[in-house]
Amino acid sequence: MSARLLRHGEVGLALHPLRDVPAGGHRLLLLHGLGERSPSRVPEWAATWTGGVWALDFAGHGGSDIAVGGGYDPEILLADADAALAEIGRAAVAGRGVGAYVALLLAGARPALISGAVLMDGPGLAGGGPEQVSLDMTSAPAESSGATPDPLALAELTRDVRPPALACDFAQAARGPILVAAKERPSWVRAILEIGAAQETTLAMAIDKLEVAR
Amino acid sequence: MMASRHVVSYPGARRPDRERSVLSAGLRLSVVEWGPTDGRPVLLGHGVFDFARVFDVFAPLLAASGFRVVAWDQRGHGDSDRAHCYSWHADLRDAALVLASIESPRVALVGHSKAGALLTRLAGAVPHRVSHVVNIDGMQDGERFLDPDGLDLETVRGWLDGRLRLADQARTPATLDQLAERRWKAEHSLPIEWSRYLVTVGAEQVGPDLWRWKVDPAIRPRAFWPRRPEWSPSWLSAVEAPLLAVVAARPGPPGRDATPAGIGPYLPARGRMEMLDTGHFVPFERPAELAALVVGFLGS
Repeated sequence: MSARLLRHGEVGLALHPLRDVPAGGHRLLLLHGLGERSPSRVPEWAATWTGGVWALDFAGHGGSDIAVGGGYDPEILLADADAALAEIGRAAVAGRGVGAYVALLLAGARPALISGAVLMDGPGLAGGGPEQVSLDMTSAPAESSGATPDPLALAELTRDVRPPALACDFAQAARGPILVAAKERPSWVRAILEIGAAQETTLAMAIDKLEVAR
Repeated sequence: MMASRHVVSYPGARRPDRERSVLSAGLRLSVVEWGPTDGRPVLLGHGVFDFARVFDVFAPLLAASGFRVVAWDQRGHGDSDRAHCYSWHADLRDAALVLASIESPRVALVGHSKAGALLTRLAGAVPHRVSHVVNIDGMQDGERFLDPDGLDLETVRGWLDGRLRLADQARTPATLDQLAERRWKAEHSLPIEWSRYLVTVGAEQVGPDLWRWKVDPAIRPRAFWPRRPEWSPSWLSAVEAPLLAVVAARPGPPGRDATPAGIGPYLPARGRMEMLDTGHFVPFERPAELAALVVGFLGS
């Protein structure tokens, strides 16, 4: 099935339908990791999901446009994912790496529309950590490469700040379960587990739990 | 876009002497300059929703003392390109590239409001390029953090809702006088003639006496910043170059109401503070007084 192109601000976002939604069915939105692109078919770990499956290419990735001038941060990716959610309607969300962090933000920002979230290992899970980082202004590029993944996205989304308290606020605002299948535990993941706003699970069990929660 | 037929002048205002652009990863940033090309360089930054031409009175006063004043429109403002991403680190990178376009080994960084904080932070990243820093009412008070505790998710959702409506959004056009009136409500200590002048240099004419501010409507105050409020005053402490912190004595939005007691502990070894009896818009309220202060500081 060919991708649907959404317009979000200055960029076009590629939203891939991987499996049709059955009548009256539910949806799963996949968010990829940093530097990745959406899978071309439903991943094996999601094979038992009975509803439709969609996958979004974030700005600067895959079939989506590059954000000219860069300036990427998870909040912009959150807005990208929100645009996808507005397109497909209420869904569960599963994210890899930076997509996991965005899945958490989306679950807290749109609690009535996200039935549950799975957070998985992948590139960009930790970001820049919980504290502000020293600036590196010596490598500021003047020209865009023109190809995805945008090198600016790769650079900027490894240096963004992810305060544990902010992650906890979003996790506590979510209505559906926040399921941590990731083995890597940056401070924001540890924090949402420690306050009981998220639960540990395996990837196989996560899909079953999302089915129950939908 | 219709060419402007309105020529509104303002006492002391002078168009830039030169115009050019700088690319930031493909995004075009408009840059203007006043003063001699071989003068001591000053990089001058504007506040949120402003543009480089707001310095049409202040910049010439610096230029008259022999400085080469370089000002840029931040992304999405004035004549610079609109962007998909508006973020603090993008603004920092843009400022770094404008700074890199100035060939002199060291440059004085002078910023008002948000640009005061931005250029102070930048000075900590490229100290080898900085001769002086002047932060004009761009500091967050270390004693009275204005960022609320916790996260207001309704505000987050409002920001997201606004992003979903971007395709339908455009700044509401109005007559020159109406736009001037709107601006004047924020800068009511200044004459309305100043606001009228700013409309003619900062807005685009879209019809017979119909104008619209050029700033991108996608730029909205962010609902949430993953940043702790104590970071902002700490950027002052990191500056190695001589630093002048100019504090507006009269509180009120959009200023951050910084106080000497709140800023003082964060001043670096070569830093000093001056308090002026103005509101937040110091470069527009007291351009001559501020220019004299800055020129004296840069010459010291």
